[in-house]
Amino acid sequence: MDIRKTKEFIGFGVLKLAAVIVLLALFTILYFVAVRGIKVINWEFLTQMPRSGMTAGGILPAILGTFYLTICAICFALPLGVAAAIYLTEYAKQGRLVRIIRIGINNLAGVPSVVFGLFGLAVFVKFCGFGISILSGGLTLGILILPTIIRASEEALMVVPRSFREASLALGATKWQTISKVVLPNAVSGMLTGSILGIGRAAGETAPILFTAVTFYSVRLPRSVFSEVQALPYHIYALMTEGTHPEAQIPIAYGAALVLVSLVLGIDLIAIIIRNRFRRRKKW
Amino acid sequence: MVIEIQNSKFKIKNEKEEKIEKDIRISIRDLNIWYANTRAVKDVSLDIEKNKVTAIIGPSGCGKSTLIRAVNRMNDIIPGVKVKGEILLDGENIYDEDVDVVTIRRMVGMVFQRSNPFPKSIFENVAYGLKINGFLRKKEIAERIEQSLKDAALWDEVKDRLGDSALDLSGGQQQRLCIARALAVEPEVVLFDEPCSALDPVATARIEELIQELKEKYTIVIVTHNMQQAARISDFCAFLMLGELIEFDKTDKIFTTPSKKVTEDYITGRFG
Repeated sequence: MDIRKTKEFIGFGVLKLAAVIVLLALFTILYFVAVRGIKVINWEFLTQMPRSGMTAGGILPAILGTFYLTICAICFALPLGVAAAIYLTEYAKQGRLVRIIRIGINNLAGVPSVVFGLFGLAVFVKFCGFGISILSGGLTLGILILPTIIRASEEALMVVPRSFREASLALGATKWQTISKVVLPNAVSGMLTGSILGIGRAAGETAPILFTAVTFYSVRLPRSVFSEVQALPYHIYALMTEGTHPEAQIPIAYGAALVLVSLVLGIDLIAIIIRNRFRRRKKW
Repeated sequence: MVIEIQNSKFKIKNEKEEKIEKDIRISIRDLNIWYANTRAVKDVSLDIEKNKVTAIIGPSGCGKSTLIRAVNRMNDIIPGVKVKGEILLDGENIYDEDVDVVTIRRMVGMVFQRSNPFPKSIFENVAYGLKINGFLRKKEIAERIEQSLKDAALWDEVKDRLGDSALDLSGGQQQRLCIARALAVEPEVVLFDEPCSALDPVATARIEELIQELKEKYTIVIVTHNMQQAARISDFCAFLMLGELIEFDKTDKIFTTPSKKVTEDYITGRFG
């Protein structure tokens, strides 16, 4: 066989193998969690309070807790992140200051999540006096996903063609009118996609809420943003490390894991659907 | 033939006007423009007459786009651009510190090289300029849109599908839509920056015809790299080279008896 063809064959083979391994890893995890988790999942499991010292009953408080924490994180991080991205790409003079801010944001993305947890404990729980609560945990998660949202939004803003901005400005629009009426509507899909992926991450994180929001067991469902909550990731962790009835707790942990994974994949799916819908509409 | 007759008619008119007084809308005075350290426009001075078509021609990179974009301060949005000199619009320097750039751009509309309709409906495209300038009454907006689309010779083609996406229009229609959008805010001056360079000959002919009609109401400045186009549609012509204004005169003078050798070389196609 021609030596060039052999080389091509090997090259493609290696690349294909890499792709297959990635997929395999994902499906192994999903399969593993699904097989072990599916046994305990039923309507009761999703809608009941835990019973008998977490060895029986459902995981409703943990599902709700994760939901509340994520909502709180979005409400905080989305407006802030989008606003920061608009400032950085549209208004700020591209110079040293903006470069430093960008480096800062990128580094924020690299900070280990447990450090965010400690930060949240020091600032939101103690200094602001929010206590161990949905608010403290949500804000901490919000800061965690801020870099993702800012970067996704910046990229979405930058791909809006300059010709749109010029057309708007040439008609006597102010900069703000141009941004709010022309640039943002055309960037919104990209912003949403990136942000939703960030939200998926927020839902799955354990460390940032460890010291700021969660409790292993609460008698009642949370009543306000100042309540402490149960959350899925921490619930799994606690079931596997605490308590004295592993044979009863481990299946529940897998059930909770399956719910969490489905939740995150579901959120990602929504991101994909939104992106596709907008992509079909835009033609530039 | 038609063009010749038209030109001779203008000649008579222009001679008359010169005796009285030129009606000048824009007066560019010692204009210099830098991109970082390159001087793209060098000491350019020229007067643009009201209700006339003034063409700016010259080889690529001669600064003609930079010059026309200075007239509605579109260069402001490019980082690192520095402007020195004056551009008087009805006697007022648009580069004065207390001048509001937004007002200038409303008075001096612009049509770009590549048609750039917003990804909205045809109606919304034309309505945009009205809405941002504070027109809110639906009836008034609808009337203005109809008038602008008629002025841009597009009304008959789109009147039954104003709600369709502007991006479904052909290239020539899109460019006429952009003209309608610029006209809707009733500017005094309309700048055309190579408006036909992405269009086929038929669409080009329509735009040229349109520009001829528009000068009844507006003062028009057009940048073109197409000398035939400049000869066909303009009353005055400025020849720019390497940022310098080589010659500025009536179009028929430039194209028949230019006073400079370089101008003659360029228009006869010896370079460029």
